[in-house]
Amino acid sequence: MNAAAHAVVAGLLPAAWVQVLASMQWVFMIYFVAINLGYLILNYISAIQIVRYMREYRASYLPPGLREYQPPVSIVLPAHNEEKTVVASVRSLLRTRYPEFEIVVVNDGSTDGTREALIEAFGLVKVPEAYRARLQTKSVEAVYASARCPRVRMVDKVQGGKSDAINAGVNCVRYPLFCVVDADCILQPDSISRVVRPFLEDRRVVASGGVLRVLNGCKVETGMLTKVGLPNRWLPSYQVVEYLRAFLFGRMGWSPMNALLIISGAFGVFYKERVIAIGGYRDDTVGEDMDLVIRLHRQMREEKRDSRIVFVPDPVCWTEVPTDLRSLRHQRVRWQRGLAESLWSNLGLMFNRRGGVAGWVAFPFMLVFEFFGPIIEVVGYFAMIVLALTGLVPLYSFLIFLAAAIGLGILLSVNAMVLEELSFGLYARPVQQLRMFLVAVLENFGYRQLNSCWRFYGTLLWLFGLRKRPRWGRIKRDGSWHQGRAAGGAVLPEEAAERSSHA
Amino acid sequence: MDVSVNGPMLLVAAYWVAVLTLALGFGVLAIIVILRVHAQGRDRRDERARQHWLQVMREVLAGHEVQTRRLDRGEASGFIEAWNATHDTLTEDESKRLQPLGRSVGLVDAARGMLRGNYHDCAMAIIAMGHQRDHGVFDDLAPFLNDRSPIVSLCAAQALGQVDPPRAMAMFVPMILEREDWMPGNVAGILARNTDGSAALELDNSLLRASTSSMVKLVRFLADIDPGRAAAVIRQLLVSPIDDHAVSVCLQLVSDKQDAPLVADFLESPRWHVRMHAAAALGRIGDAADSQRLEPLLKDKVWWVRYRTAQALLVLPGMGEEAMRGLQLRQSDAFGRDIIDQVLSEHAMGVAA
Repeated sequence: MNAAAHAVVAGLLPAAWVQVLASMQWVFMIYFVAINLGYLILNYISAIQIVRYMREYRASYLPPGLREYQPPVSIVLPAHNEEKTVVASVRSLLRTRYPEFEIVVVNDGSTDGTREALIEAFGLVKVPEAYRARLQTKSVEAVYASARCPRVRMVDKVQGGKSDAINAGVNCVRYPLFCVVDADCILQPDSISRVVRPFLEDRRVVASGGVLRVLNGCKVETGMLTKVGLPNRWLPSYQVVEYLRAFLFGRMGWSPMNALLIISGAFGVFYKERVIAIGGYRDDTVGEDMDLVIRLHRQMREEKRDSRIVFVPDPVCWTEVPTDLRSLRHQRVRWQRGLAESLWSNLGLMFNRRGGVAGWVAFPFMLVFEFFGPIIEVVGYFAMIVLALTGLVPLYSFLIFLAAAIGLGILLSVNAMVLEELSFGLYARPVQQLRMFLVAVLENFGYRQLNSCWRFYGTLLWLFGLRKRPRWGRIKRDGSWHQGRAAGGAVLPEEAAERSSHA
Repeated sequence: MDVSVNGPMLLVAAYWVAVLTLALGFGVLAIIVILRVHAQGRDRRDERARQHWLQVMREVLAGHEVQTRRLDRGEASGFIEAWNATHDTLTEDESKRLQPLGRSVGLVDAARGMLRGNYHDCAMAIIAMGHQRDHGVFDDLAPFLNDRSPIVSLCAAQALGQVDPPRAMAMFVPMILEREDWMPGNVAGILARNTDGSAALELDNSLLRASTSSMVKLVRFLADIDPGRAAAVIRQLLVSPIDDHAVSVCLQLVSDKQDAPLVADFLESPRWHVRMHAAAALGRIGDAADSQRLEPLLKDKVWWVRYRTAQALLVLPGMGEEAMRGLQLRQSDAFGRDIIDQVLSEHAMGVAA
């Protein structure tokens, strides 16, 4: 290490601090081994699950007859200032192939023309609905229904945030299962069937979620996904691999152990009475989706009720991810705050006598690796750089540890790619696989570190109480996937992949 | 200063972790690409076979003379996909016109080979053999009825039902109570496709031997395919109810007007879902006089009971919007008035849950 750098670091950091950093290296080492081991174990559990699931899925050529036995589902679509997209979203939902459903759009005090756009598009009129406020929400001003589209209703209410809007929707829904969908998400015609399937197969299921995929780079026509592709830009490309990792083994791995602690707020199906029994969504957190699932776990276990919260590997919901650093930072800071709020307000689940795998394994795992993880990682990066600059860690050692960290990072990402290949193989062309591999390598040089820093910042914001009251999260979207023309029909993911392979 | 992570053992370990993980990463990538290339090749081959045989089947169905040959190796999957897809669009009589083609290409032999394959191939082969309706395959397919997979076992049930309906139903129906993993929709679909009456006969026989709790499960299926026979069982279950779930199921199925007094007895049940189903049932099978029995439920404490009651009242013979408005005026309870408003408004719009 050159002497100048050594001198600069020595000048900036007292020797005692450097000593502390040096002695903490075991902490970083143990953390590094434990987190990678943990994720590899999850990875292999997911692989077994996905192979088992796909055997059944691929053999899903079934005699007709299932349709009439699928339980009716209410789709809750919370919307705030979504004038430009809400009508298209509802139209897209109306094209779902589910036999019996209703759509309850909750207009959460929009200040643009959201309400008027819906009224005009679907011929909504006020109805004297005997609204039951089983969950307390901000005031509901009116309920609208439509003779032209009997499946669509709108709840018009005073602004109270996303959780409040969903709670108002839950008050209004009529069916035993409800599905929350973000207004900016794209579904497939069979998305609801796929996520409802666990409810048919196992009566203990109280909530079910599926895989969220990245919409950037795909093509959407008349509200439905028509071609799966990879984004052209680096930032969304990193997120493609990240989503694969997060969903295909981050969540799939916990599901068979009934220890899934999160179902994405963008798309999940819940048993209404169970959600009402725990008081609905909390409106004082930005991580309302995770908080709800953890509270469901707690409630079920306290009541000694044999229940299941499950996850299916089907890609059911496509969402546009941030394409600029500012939006991405905002999103990640928000997610980390949500995670912190959900974990700390439900600490009672951890090591609870009845906590099961969720309380004894998944919760501590989330706490150590997801909550404390960014702190350890950021301090670890800092320590390694300082120690390398001061010569306490020789450069070759530094590079070897860096290579090991990158190697494990790549292995985890490639394992997620294998799971994708074993399951739906949506990125069908070999060139797409090569590109994803390149992304899996490059994300280790900056992107991951940046993410850790943002999450670290999110943890600090939560820790020091520097947070505003939760409202609607907003990210800048480029909408390049959207095709204005009305040609082309909706396709299933495998069909979309097929088109993609010939693109 | 002692910096432990610089220890030679740890460095060696880190070095090998780096080498192995990078090598594994590249190795796995190579496997993914090979798998992908292989899958694309297989898909192309299956698609070619599928298109070719779809065309042949269309010509056979159009009554043209078609020269056929036995299936080549590697064609079986594509042929069977085309075979199953084509049969899905045909009536039973049209379906039979394809049987000579199946025989001439050696469908049964090819499908037998696929029975030993993966789940997908196995299920597709079973269904294809069912469409062929060759009695010789019954014994090949029968063991699959006990397969652990609900998909494979249900496919086998459907295929057996096409090959030899009485024998198949005698095996299938008693298993309905044992196989908790069979989805009711699939079971109902298989039973509904039975046209020779053997399914209803077997269900009737099973009901005679069934415990009261099993009766509830079977009566749903019987109501789908033979409402007349089911009515007697439903009546029996309503007269001597075993639990609220059984009563709710029967109230959802009851369709005989003579059971209206029996149904009315449940309007005062302590369980709200029983009251709700009773109100809805009375709306289906009751007459104008039943409005007096239903009216007190308009102020029930449970919204769903009030809602279904208002809907039931509206569809009773002799009732209509005007009568409902009259009923509304008589309501002292605000909940009762509100629910009538809602139901009338929805009725006017053609909207109802």
